[in-house]
Amino acid sequence: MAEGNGFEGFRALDRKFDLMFLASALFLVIAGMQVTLTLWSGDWDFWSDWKDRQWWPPIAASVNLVVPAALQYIAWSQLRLPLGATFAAVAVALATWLTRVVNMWGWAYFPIPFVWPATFIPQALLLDCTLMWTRSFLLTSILGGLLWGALFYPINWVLLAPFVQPVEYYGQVMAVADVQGFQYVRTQTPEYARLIEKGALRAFVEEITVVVAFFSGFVSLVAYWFGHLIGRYVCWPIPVFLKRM
Amino acid sequence: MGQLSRAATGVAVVLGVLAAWSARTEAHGEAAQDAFVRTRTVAFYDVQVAGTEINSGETVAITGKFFLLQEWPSGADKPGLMFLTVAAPGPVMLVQERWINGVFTPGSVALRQGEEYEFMLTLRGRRPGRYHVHPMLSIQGIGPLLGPGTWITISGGSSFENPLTLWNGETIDLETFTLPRIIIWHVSVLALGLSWLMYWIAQPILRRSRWITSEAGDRLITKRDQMVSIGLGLLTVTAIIVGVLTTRASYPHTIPHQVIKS
Repeated sequence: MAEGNGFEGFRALDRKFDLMFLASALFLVIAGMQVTLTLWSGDWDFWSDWKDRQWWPPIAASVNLVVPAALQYIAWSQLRLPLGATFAAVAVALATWLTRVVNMWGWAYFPIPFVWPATFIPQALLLDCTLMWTRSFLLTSILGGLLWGALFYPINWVLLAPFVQPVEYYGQVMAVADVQGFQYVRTQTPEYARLIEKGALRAFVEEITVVVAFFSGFVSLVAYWFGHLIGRYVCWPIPVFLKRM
Repeated sequence: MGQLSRAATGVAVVLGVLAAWSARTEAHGEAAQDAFVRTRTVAFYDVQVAGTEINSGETVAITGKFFLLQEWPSGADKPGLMFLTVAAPGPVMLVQERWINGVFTPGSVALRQGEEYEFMLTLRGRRPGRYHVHPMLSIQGIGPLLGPGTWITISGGSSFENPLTLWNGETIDLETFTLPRIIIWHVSVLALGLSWLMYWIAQPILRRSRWITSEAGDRLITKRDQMVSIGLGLLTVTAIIVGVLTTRASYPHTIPHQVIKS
């Protein structure tokens, strides 16, 4: 595309602007994603004993789709780049690991196996690929949004499974994560504040994860359009600016 | 350069004076709680700490009683669920055991006003240092209420293990449990994400906006782009399937998190 378009002489300058743009975008996206994650799904993402199958998938998956969806719209509509969601997921992964290692392990002394973060990168890749293949935000919201929510739990199950192995602790049946929550002192997080699925006979039915996956996918579909509209609102001046140029 | 060094010296002097002048904060602000909450809700008494100097890995028991006052302050919510723990500067000590009236109490409990409860907390030293530790009763609707504080000194090296025996007989160390697995999975998916980003970032970025506005945007996605996306998409799906199947094989017995509220 670059040949014969009149921009060859400005290639070096182009790349400098590109890098400056990406570096600036990285910090903005990190801020947006971190604020969303911390405010809306903070405890579910911070602690292994909050990562249940009823609340964690729909909440963490849906609220953390808002910024990727907005960024996906901006990157696709203004630059025809199918990387908005992946950019957001990678940015938040890097920032989250930094805060977990420096803040939660280094300063607050929590072991990393108690405070590991969830990942959104595989879902983001599929979301971007869906947009690229379909070239339609409607189809992307239906297919990609559903995949984003439905795949959240299986993808993070790889990390979670060891922590929901059973333990007999002083005569009580607990998961490994429950013991972590019991032992590692969180002065400002009393146990009754833990909003997770309550143990009951129903809790031992495996099919619940399938139901939650679909529900999580549906909520993510709605969240996708919320993020999409934010993207539209944020970037409406860009084409106006470019036309004036 | 001279100005810069003078400014740096000035800042260092001010910070040094502040550091020397400021009093150290060495408690949990228990006296800062509202008096009506502190004096008219929970009364801790007969609190004893069995040893205030321990080595890392050794245990210390805090025993005592607390009484939930009948005359509850009208400005505070009536007591709901409660959670007995300790106020400490982070997990410098582990809560090994928690007993109320001789019953092991892993979660939250509903206790009655006007009754006395005996408690025992067994703590295990984790991080060397000198710490101010309180028994603490968090009450839903009220917040944390502190008992009398004690200084506990933990000696020893920085290495610490926290063994736990699973139901299948395997013993794990909660300090490092599955750390390599966590890192490998995160690095793997990060590599996938970075590959996708690098592929696109290697191409011009801002210049593409020109073609969007000139109605030639559809030609910006090439066949090579499509092939790369199919390859990376398949790789991602394969990684998910392999990850889930191997996890299922490695950890066949799992249970939901247990919420114990009685």
